Amino acid sequence: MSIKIGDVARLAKVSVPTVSRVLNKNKYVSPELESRVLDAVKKLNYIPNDNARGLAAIKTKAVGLIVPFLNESSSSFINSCSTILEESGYDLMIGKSGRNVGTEIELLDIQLSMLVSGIILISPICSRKTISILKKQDIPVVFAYDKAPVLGFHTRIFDNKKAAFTLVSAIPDIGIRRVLILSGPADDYINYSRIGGCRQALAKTHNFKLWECDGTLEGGYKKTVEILKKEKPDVLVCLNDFMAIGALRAAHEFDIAVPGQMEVTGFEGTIYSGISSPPLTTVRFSDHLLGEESAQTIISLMEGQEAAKVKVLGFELIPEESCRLLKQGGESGNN
Amino acid sequence: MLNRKPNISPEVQKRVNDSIKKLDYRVNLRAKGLVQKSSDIIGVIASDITNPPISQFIEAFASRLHENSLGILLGNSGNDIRKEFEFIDLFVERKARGIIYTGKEITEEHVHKLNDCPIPLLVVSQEHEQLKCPVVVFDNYQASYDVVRLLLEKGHSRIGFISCPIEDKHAGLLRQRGYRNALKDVGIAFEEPLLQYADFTMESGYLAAERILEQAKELPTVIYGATDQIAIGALKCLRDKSFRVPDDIAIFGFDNIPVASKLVPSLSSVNLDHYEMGYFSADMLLKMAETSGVGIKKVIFSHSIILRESCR
Repeated sequence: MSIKIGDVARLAKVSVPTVSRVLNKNKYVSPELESRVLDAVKKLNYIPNDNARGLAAIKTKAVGLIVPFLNESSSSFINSCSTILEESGYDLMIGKSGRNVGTEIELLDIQLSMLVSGIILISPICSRKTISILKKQDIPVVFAYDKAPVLGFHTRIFDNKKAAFTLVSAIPDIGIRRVLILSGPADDYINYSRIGGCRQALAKTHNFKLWECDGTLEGGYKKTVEILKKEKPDVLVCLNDFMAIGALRAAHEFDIAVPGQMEVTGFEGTIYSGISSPPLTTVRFSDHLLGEESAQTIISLMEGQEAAKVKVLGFELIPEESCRLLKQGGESGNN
Repeated sequence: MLNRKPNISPEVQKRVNDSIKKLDYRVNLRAKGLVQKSSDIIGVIASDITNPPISQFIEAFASRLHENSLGILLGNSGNDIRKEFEFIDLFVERKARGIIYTGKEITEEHVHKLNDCPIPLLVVSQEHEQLKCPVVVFDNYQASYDVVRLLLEKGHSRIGFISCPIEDKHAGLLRQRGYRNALKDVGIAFEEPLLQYADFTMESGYLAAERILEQAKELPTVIYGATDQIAIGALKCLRDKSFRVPDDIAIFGFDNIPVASKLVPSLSSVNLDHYEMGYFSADMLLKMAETSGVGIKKVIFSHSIILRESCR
């Protein structure tokens, strides 16, 4: 079997582009790396293929990723995703769309012109144009967090609806309590699914109100202040942890004891859910796992293997102090 | 979740817009058939985008570029110099319009590589005497010095400090030096156990606070963390050990990340406006791409101290 450049890279513990840089002598490489590469070349008796070397010798294998925003969730996804890709010799090129259709299309164009071998889209807007660009490519595409609006793309998601249903149903006697749901923009698929899960859990009673805000820490805080000026629900279900932390702050300022006078729940299980006072009852999704899963899927597809079209990752209910009802309910339920 | 906008207050956005106006940093991209050869992207090299100040910076930076119909490509290096250099090569090859470098440290090797970069390059939050490109920084030394002087004025004489690794010149070395010098200048002897190290995570801040409590001859009256993440970890540690904050031990942070103002107790911190810096850096880099140099070597952003419930 012939020795490949990848074998050299592995032995020298450097990347393929670094090896080709040393061999081509066209780019700066630190003396230490250079000697490691040359040692490996010697040991393996590697003879570079001159044809390949002349042309695009450093044809980096790259995967494009388009994210709407950089926040705790997407950062964690990106970290695990890039680690897995890197192990297989792929670079990750990240574009940030700001959830703007024009930018999304532009980034897609740029990444395609860079000859990426696959594209992962996190919760894209998916205009008709985006879809048609993607359909025209013969490279693998993976959707993460959000379903593709048309069939045919590989999709890796969380079951937001079921998680919301599970959380709300786990609160004892939820039917007789005044429940208020605080959501981010409801026209968004993820929030829509979460609201759907809550509705399902509260279907028998309809004893709830739905408030909407922009879904941020500040938005959650301000909306809760507005709510508490009018009324005090028994249970405030916040459909992400940041709104919940804002809500806890607002309750603190109104001298409302949580738990006791009001119960608060979060959603997603971010690193901040454990540091709020009181710690947040929440459902935890692992962005880290979703990042790994999406990376593994795109690698399989790029290497011509099959992969399941849709995979739905699980969640974990985290009973904490901010919703004592659920915590105690859960504990007695276990007995 | 992913489609949630980052947590940036409207006041900050307004302040940013005002400051940009004041600076008159309007960028005219349509000017003189600008850089036909280069693509519509800017390359960004970051050491760890899970670190809130960095993601905040990139968010702001990218928003500003979007206003100018430019996109960013982000290389997350995990502080691996080899990867950082690969990204620089890749961006150069792909004819990026410019590069932002915001890594954790600048070594001799970095200087060599960055100085050789053929496209406009701006270094953010790091510096090195031999660097030829402009840098944009906060005055971390002065800010940290100011915090400790303020704590001393408030009657805290036993100040625990949790430092970042000193390989990071700005968040690590300079903030620690500010702490040490402020103590020295008022004649307070430095006590080894009161200074502990943490990396940039909450968990390590928690553990470092635990070490301070265990090893200090006498408990500190305040624990000052070199980043908010660290300070939040310390806050959790104190809470778990039933200390009252700030009555038993106060807490001070650094960076003023969005969640700092909403915690209970809310976190006193140093406000470094990473968002404003991101906006400014975008404009500066575009200006560099447009005019091949702005004649500025170094821009220092101001800081302010924000007192909240965790340390009054």
